[in-house]
Amino acid sequence: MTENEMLGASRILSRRLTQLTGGASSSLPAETAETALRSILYTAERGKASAGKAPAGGAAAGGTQEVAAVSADDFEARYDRGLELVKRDLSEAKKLLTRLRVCRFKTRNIAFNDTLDHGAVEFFGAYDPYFAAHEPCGIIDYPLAVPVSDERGAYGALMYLRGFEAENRFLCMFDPACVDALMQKNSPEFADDLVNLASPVMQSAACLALMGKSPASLSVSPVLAEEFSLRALKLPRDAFAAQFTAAMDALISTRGFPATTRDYLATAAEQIARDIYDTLAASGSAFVQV
Amino acid sequence: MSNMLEAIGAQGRARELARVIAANDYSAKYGLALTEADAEKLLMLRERELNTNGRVEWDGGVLDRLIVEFADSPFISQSSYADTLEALQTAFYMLKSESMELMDDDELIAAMRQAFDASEGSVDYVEETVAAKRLRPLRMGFSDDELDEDDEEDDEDGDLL
Repeated sequence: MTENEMLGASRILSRRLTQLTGGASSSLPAETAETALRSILYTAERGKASAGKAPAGGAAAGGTQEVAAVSADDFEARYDRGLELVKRDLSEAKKLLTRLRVCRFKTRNIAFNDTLDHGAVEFFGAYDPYFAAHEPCGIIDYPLAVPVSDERGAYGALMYLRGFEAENRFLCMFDPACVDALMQKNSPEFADDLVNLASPVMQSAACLALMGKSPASLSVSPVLAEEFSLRALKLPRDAFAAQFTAAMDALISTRGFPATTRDYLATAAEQIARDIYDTLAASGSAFVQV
Repeated sequence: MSNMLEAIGAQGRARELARVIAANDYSAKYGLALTEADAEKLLMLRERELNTNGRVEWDGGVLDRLIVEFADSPFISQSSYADTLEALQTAFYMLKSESMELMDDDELIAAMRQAFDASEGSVDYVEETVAAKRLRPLRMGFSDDELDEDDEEDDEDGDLL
């Protein structure tokens, strides 16, 4: 950090701490000041990372738009830009959560529902863009098929909810009773477990599609599973992943999903395909649920 | 991270020295003044107190406010002025930490002044009394108004604070 940047950060911190105490105290516990400083550094980093580009058009669009570039050396300008983005992330994430709660997939899985009904709501209720912008959304339980790489702050929450939305859209393509039966088969306690729903559904759906069957039932017979396994292992790993991903793509191609959803599902499909292949290669020819 | 927090303190240091020296104009009316060396020493000791109490200060400190609040006390003389301010400053940061942010700077300084005069200039008494009679009840959930009522009752009973 340059001396100029350090001075800029110091000035912002002074302002924030004065705001925090309402001007009634000129000192605070070092721990509180450190949290505020981490928040400032995170926000400025967010502003720096966005220089030239920023997410735009609402959570569903997931595109980017040009934003006014800020000088890399002007810490306060970077912070102001970052704060603007943090607030925008927060607003988009809240809208996305509202939408997800209305059109959620019907499941008995508690983590899935609690994340929408409580976890995310509590995160937004406690989130403070001024003093703890960097805090991770640690109260969210439901594990995504593709974990969010940066879980910090409103941006982490937005990325998480975009992944959640993609999985929700995918799950809504299937009869909840079929998903329930599949999950029950994999894990009888799935309603109470912290398990991802999309991965096994994607695995069964792609398997059925690749074997020329309708994926709607999600029901893979032992004979079909065996045949699928043998066929898969005849291919190199990358070729199998490509076939699996293409089957998934074909499955969702007529749904008119936005690019963020398609990209997320493609990433998930590729990851799941490789996991399946590795499991098959390690355990012989048995078809193993992820 | 700690470098950054030190930078915050350093930012206020020059301003604080100027403010402390400027406060001599006020305290001179009561025959009290700090030399620049005294002021620098007190500000250096402030850093130590902040570290000891795990606190960060910005935009200067409270030394100039202590000077103004205590200047007209009949229990401070020029001969012990710098030492008394040092003890008061140490007491302030100790009490501020113990307050768990429930008392603002001005309230704390006023309570210290009251105890200081009541004890005819004992900083040890200030520490004990403010901690026992002001801060502990606040931490237990008593409001400022309830504390003021207690103070009035204590005054009637002849207590010092």
